[in-house]
Amino acid sequence: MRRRHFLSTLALASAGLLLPPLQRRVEASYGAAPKRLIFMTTQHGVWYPNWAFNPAGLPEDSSWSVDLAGTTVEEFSPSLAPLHPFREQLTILDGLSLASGDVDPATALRHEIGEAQALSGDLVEMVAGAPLASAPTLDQLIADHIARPDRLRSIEIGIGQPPFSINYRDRVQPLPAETRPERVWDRLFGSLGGQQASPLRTEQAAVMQRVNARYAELAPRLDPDARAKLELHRELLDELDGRLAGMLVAECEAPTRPELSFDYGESFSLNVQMLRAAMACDLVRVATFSLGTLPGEVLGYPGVDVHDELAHQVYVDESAAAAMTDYTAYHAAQLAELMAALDEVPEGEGTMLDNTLIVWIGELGDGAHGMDRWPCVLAGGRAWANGRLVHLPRDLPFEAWSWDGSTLPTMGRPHQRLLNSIARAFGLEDSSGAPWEAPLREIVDAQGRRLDCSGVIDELF
Amino acid sequence: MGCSADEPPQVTAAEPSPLAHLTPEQYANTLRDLFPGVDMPEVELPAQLEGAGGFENNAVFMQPTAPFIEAYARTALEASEALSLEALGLDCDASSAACIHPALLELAERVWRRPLRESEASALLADYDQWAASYGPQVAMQLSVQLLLQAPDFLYLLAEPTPSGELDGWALASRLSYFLWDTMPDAELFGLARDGEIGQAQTLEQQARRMLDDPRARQALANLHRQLFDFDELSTIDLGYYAEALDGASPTDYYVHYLQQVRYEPEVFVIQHVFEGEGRLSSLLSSNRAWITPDTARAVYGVEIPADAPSLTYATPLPVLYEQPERTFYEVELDPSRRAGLFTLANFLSAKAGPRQPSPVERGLLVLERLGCRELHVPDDVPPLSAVEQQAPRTNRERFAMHTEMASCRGCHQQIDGLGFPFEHYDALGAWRELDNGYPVDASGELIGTDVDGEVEDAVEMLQRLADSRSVHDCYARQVYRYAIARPEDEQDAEPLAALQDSFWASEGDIQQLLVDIVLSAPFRGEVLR
Repeated sequence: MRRRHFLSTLALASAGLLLPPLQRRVEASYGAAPKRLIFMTTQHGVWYPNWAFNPAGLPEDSSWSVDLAGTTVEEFSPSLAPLHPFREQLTILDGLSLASGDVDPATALRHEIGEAQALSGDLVEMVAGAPLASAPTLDQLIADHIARPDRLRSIEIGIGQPPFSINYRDRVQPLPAETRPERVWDRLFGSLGGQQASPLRTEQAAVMQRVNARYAELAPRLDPDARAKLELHRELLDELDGRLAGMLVAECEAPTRPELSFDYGESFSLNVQMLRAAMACDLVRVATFSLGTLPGEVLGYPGVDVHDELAHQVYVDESAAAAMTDYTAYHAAQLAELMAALDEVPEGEGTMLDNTLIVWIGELGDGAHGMDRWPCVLAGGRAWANGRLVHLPRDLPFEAWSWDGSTLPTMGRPHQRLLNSIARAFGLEDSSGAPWEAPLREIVDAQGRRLDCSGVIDELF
Repeated sequence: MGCSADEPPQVTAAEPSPLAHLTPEQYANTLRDLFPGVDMPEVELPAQLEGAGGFENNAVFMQPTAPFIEAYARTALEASEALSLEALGLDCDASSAACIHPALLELAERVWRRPLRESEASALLADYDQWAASYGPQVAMQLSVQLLLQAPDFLYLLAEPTPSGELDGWALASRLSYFLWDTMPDAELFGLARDGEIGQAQTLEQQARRMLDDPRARQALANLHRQLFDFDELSTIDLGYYAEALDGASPTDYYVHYLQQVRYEPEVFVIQHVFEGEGRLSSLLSSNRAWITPDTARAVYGVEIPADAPSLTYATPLPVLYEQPERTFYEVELDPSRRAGLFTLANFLSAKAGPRQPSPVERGLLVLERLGCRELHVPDDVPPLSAVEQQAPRTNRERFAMHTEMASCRGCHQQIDGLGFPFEHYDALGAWRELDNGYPVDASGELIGTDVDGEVEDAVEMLQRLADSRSVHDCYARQVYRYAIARPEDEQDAEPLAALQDSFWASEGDIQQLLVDIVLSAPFRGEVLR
């Protein structure tokens, strides 16, 4: 298997192209709720030995934090090196797990379990053979909290061939990712009014209200399943109605509508540019980038099945581990691209990046379907002090599945605490006014022990 | 880590039939038929989870989401923009309400596929009058169409309960036309619904046969098979590795031009065999008569198309992502020792392959699940094949055979690989190969868990045996039945389904007869709530 020197190329690219602004932003105190939220999800986990780093040689079994400001690019891990220029706006979180994925009884692939659980924090629900999330995902709950009623509530963007969905509007209600950039444009900018909107557009909201009445009239006459669908349809019509009216008077210069693109990197870049433009006009506040498996030719391994020949083999084949290191570095460079794009837009005393929390996670810990060592990179926002590598000990006493048939004595801390922490950053509350927490508060291991998943990651705040 | 294959799990019967909405094909075809001669917008609805059999019309998964509602609004807007008053076929003064009101109500009846109640009609006309006063008749008509196209009566296949608990004639007409035509009922079906005759068995049978003679049935059946056999799953090939076979094709040549030919070959194959040939399942699984293009003839089948080969033009169904709407296919007899049916065409063989080497697992799984109706339990996990590289497998088969050497994988992979290895004579493009990596191909396999079990030498022998299998015929009938009822089957379907399977086998796999029998079955005709 050939080993391309992909990293060195990336390092050069990041040194030349992705430098942060020389004039540092005004130091602001942290603890402020971000205005926006972007999830970026990638597949097949990471090769942990080349993802984690420990520049001070601190003990693995304790909790510690390293200030990234003074670290060199050589001290960064190979997989995360492309993010080095933005180190002061990063929080690298090492020490989480998808323990609840390990315990999930669903008869589904571990990829699918991770996809349903990552943002919902709850167990999988099987519907006619399909593994779906049994609770709404955090992006949608935060959209409920911060989205403007006169704007798009959220956008779910797919790159390449992403999983069907990692976002759920509600229990078993997946939101499929849009993979065509031109359709993303339609959703973001298509209903902007402009100067000479025809009555066919200006009256759309009025049409919608009449249609809505039709749904209201019909729904009660139908059986409960059909009624529920029509009630949901009606609720969504209400949203769209409000948004169409708002978009007609919104002021925003839309970028050019893109063409269909087959190119993985180009598709991501086009979407980043569109999202930035939309967010600059406050057309949307919550977004997800769901990145499908990086194609072999993009990674520098043409003809190779990345999922089976590389990701699955990380523990048994050094060259596969090296390739998956590059794989993660490619995505790290994409995150850097997204950060750079947001950082170019001045906003208040800082930039758009300062007001946007970006969360990079995935459906697995590693390519061999492990759910421990679940990688997480937080970027932007001022919810907590950035510029840190936060290491947590793997002290959850849960015997986890391991690729070689053995069990791991402990796992990282449950990922529900990450979701709870993000929710706290946004001030999200449940219906009783208490701080929101992921629905799964504890998991039960094979010995019947109850393991706590509640609370936040104290080290973040 | 156990693994076993079972008949599909049965869903409990207490749930009512879930409400279905129009699929993208159904929506687009309906627009076409509502406004013939008008250039209608592209209809693209968000992706949908596939149900059992790969079907996209499984109403269990049909949930409204924001992208759906936006797509409905966008399409209704674009459709209204494409319309003018002429589309209503008026022969009177459009500025007078007396002229336009009846035409609008007639249109509404076709859009909602049933007569409007008085209250609905007066609301529609009141809205029209209000808009007409502000913007004139043309815009008022366009806005009325926007309204009609976003109403539940258009978007959903509604079946309001009747006092008797049966489907009313209008709903039955829609169910029939969306099953056999993928579009709205025509005037004759509407007429029978109005007269209350459509529910009679003799009428239904006559109508089903009439509909099968219509071109719309061909497209609909092709669409059913597209979903069942993944015709729209296309390969991502290593163009450098296959440069010689593909004549140095660029990515655009390959993805936009070549793959689109590969994409539609099996649809033409299905249509020709079902409607112009014997019409039997065995033909789909074993015939060497195929409709191919000069490009696939050269790259995949290794044949010259004779100068006098009959040809046909096939119009690409929606959605139209690419510019070329029509393609020409040539009828040829392929080498019967190498090609037998749909699963030896370039489409299946290349879609179920990696960039360089075929995937016996993906090939075997499709045959197992879609032709065998066997659904494997997902294993706890799939461990990496740790020893593969060290053992230096010489061929693709040897590499994949590692699965069956590991005890934890054997249960599933014996069943999958036994169906997948027989395709090893076909590379990742679907071209025949005697050698793999310089070593002779071993394409032997084994059928397990069927009524035609045993070892086979290669894909042709396997497919011919499956073509004569009762269990394969039963599975095919089950799949078409699932598609017809647009939901997973449950125990209340067991009896009617068994009867359909008996009659399909007795008819020697007559596909058109199966479609008619399904239309006549009690669940298709009568159910509202179960």
